[in-house]
Amino acid sequence: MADNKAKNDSDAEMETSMPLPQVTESQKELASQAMSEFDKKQYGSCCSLMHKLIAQRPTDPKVAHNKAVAEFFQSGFLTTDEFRQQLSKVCQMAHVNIDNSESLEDVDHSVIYFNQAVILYHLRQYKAALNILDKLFQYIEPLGSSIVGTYRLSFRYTVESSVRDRKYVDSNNEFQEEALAKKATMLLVELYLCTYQPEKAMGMVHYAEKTVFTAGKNAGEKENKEDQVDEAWKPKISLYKTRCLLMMKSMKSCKREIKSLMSTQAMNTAVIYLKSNFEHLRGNHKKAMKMLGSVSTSDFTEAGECMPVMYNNNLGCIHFHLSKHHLGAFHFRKAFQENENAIKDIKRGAEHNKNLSGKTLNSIGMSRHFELLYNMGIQLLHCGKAMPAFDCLVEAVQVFRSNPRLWLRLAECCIMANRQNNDEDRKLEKRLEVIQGSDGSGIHRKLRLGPGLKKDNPSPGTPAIPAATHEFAALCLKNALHLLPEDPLTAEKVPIEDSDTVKITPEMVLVPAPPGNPLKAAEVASLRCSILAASAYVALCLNDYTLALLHAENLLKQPKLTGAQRYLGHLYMAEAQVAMDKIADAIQLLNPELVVDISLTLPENKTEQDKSERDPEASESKGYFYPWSPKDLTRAKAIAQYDLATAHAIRGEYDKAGQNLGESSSRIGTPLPAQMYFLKLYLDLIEGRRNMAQVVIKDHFGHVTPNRVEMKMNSKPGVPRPDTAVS
Amino acid sequence: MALSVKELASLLSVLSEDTTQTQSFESLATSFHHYFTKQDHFKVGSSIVLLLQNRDLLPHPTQKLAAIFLLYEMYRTDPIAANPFATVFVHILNPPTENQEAGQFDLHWAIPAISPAERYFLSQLISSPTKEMFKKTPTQIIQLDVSSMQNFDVSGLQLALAERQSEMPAQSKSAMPCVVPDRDTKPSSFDHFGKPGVINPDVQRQTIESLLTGNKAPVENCMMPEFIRLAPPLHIAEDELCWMNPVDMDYSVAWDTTMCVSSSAGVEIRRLMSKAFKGALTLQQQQQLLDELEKDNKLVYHIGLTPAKLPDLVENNPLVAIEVLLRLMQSNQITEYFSVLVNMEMSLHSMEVVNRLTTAVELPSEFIHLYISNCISTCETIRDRYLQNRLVRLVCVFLQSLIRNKIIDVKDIFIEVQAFCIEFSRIREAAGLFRLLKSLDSADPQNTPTAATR
Repeated sequence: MADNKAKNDSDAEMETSMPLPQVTESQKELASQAMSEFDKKQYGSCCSLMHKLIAQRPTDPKVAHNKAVAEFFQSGFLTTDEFRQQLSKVCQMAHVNIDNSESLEDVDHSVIYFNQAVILYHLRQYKAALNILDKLFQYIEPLGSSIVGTYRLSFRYTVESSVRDRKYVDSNNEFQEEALAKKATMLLVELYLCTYQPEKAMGMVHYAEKTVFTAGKNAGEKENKEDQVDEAWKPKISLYKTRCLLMMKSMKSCKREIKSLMSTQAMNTAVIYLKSNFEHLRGNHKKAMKMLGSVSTSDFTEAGECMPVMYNNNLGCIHFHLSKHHLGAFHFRKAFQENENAIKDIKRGAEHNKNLSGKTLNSIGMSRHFELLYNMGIQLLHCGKAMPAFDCLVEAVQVFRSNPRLWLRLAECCIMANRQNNDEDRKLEKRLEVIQGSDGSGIHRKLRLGPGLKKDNPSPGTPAIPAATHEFAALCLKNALHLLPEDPLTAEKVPIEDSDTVKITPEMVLVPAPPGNPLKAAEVASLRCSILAASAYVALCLNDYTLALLHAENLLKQPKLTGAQRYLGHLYMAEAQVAMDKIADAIQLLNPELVVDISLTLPENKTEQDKSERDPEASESKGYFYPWSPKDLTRAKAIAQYDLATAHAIRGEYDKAGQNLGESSSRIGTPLPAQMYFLKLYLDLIEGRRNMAQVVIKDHFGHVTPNRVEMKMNSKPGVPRPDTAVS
Repeated sequence: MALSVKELASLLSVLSEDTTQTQSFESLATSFHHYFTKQDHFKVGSSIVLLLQNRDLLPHPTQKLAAIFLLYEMYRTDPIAANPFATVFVHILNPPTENQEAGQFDLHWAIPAISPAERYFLSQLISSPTKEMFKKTPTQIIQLDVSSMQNFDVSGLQLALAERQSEMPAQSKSAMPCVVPDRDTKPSSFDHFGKPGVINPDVQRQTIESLLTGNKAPVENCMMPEFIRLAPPLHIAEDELCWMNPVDMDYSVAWDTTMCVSSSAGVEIRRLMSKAFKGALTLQQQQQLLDELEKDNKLVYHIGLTPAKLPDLVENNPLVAIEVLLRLMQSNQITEYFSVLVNMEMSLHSMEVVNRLTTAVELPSEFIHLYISNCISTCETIRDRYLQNRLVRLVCVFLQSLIRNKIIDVKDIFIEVQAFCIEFSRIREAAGLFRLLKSLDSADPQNTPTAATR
């Protein structure tokens, strides 16, 4: 059906294009004049020529198209809306469906499609633009390729043109056609980069280097013009390559590329920023900062980008990596303000215009609002400000939905909003919850013990509505896990015969993480561990022990775990097992002697060369961006031992519980976590050591009871009992 | 879960010292049911248990007994093992022993022991209640002399409960009431001087209210051992934030350079091509088309030929199709054209095109194999006998030409073609092809050594 329709369309096209009148010599002259005016950037005169031409050829779509282009240039790219309207009119005339790149059948229409892609690029509809260009490239590519080069001098339509001038126009024409191929290639590469597909971009750059941009060389020395063009493109290609390599984080090749860039155009702002980015990625933050500072920050680049925004944003990134989070947040905030100001300025200029028009084409997509929100959110999270971070990231995630790490960060915000850090249990305010108060007096005085620190307050409404709750965190983590490629552990059910392919394939896959660089295999693995740990934790908080156990088991199966993750995996698993009445298993897991490592990063297995490449001062900055407790092994062991005491207590083994609790309390560090007081009181009271409990209460929570225990009383069993006093 | 103040007042009126001393169990039950419906029973029961645990809150034995009776009464219609407070009965009948030597004096969570008479009453209640029992008052029961009477057996209930409890996780059984008596050892106000341990009804009432009513009343809570649950550390990523680099490119719209230059030739060619898709061109037209294509190598990309349209062109103008395909060989879309060609309906024309192509350029062998398989399967599936014979002849001639011209290696398709020849051995050309295959096959082993010696 579709095929038929397409056929009919094109048939119709042939029929309507036939009545298109023959091009007369004078019209041809007009057209070539218009083009040369256009080339000379004399858009005014070009426009008037085009007006004359369109009066003579009102049905020619190409004339209409070029008229629109000339007018758009004449307006200084301010009339985007109008241009789009004109473009769609041209499409109607040429019987082209611009929204369906599949309908592209004729190279004659390639310019229309290209221009549509350019507009889409500036509107930041990268996927749509990419669809068009991918298709367009197939048609346009043979035109620019070197095969054609040899036919350079055999011009096409010489039948009726004998004028010397025509020859120039024709050969120039072919040159122009190649220029379109080059432009399209460039835009294609750019779009691949915009959609974070550095491998595809790199492939395209390599391919283009071989074919599209070497046309002149194959054609021989006879046309100097070509060679010059080729030279002119070279630095641009080099820039693209560097960007690809940076995105792929292949530092070695990148270093080479940057070196050659620096040797030729060291003053180019783009080059300096790339170099700074490179140093930043290598961990040479001071150098990166210096590079950034060396550029004079004019407000806007030619491409309409706001330099102060970039400058501040990048400074923020650097400070983030130096763990100077508040300074980082300051710079991001500044970048944010600059961005707002820039947009405001443009809007003010455009107030009298409608919609898109009034801004130059370049500045339509200038705002970096969501990238900045993303950076800001992550930075705030590391400042320990969970709620503001949540607000930033929840907005950013609507744009960067395919970023699994962003979903994890959102979940981390929720976790932090409900538990600021692990030392929270030691705060006075938490300890005061152990005994909530007293009621009555005299014989009727009662102490009210707290129900514990666990809070089971189900969030109101559905978890699908973003709020900093554990329910929403669970949803985020589910998304994050789904966005990762399948776990090689579960996928590897196929017998691993050819170990080569198994090893290679995960290396090849880059997982997109917009707006950051895509994730490499190692990063994916570590991300997966973090997601699993967070998932297990959140499942415990939601009392979903089966799921918690599943996640914890999955976490412990991962091949590369940090010490802290293994430790947490054991704790989570044990807690879930206790809840599911597998206490014996839990008690084994909680053996404090098993805790041998709680480092937050994987042991460095970098090669010597890698280390030597780095600045000595920079190397220590990797790793801890945010403090985590327990900080030392002793405390970590003590916490495991406390949990062990809890497990024993639940099983009714109060002696063992008491013993472990005692040992743990001497090592866990002061102030003691509130849970320890709970357990101490629990053990005393459940076994009827009321006096012992009273001592603890009087010592630590003296404000709730006036009743001091005389230590002598301990040996005297004859404490008057309330019930004997009655009656 | 907590009671309202009004509900509490009703409950306390049923459990008051006066009422419990004078009224029979029957009338206690009646007044209880007057105040409470089935839905209230559990929360009332929980409150009663809390009162029982605190000796000072239900000080009189008749109150205690009445309270225990109410726990029974609420769920009397259900089997006793289904009573949510059945464990309380078992607990009362088997009180935990307080081991004073181990420093244990006071189990605040235990319900104080009851007298033998009360025990007798309770065990009868849960094993085999009689109507007469309910006619008595709690006072009468307490005064009963039960030393000579036989105890009722409640082991059945105990067993049933133990079984049910064993199914529950230990954690759910580990909780402890969070109300702990903390009797003042010294008088806290002037009123209390000289009256240690005397019940003050006002204070008692206040205490009960604060324990049983209001938001988050202690009766709702319990305390159990709790893990220290460590939150995981923030994920550490080395390259997470979005670094911004200026884009040093200007992507702007392009001028269509082909405006008005696509001369009559271009238009004419396109017109001819669109004709060529629909029907055969005249010789003259064909020649014109081919001449124009000859003049400009790029023109072939402008004539509007897409892979989808190729079959039409092949059927109507095979010669043009060959010429065009040869010119498209350099295009990166050529494989798409090929795959369309291979999969199109088999015909004399398509075969001619493929045949000519094979002689003119080197085609990928998998393409040719695919085409041959396609031809063979078409011959096998066709129904029309006459057409079949015609097609088989065509295929045979085509294959012979391929083999003679050494375009394909016979070995690759030997089995498939042999089967084809045998199936259609009635046709002369098939038999011929079969002989050719055989001769090649037998010649082959001799050929190879000669080739090797060369």
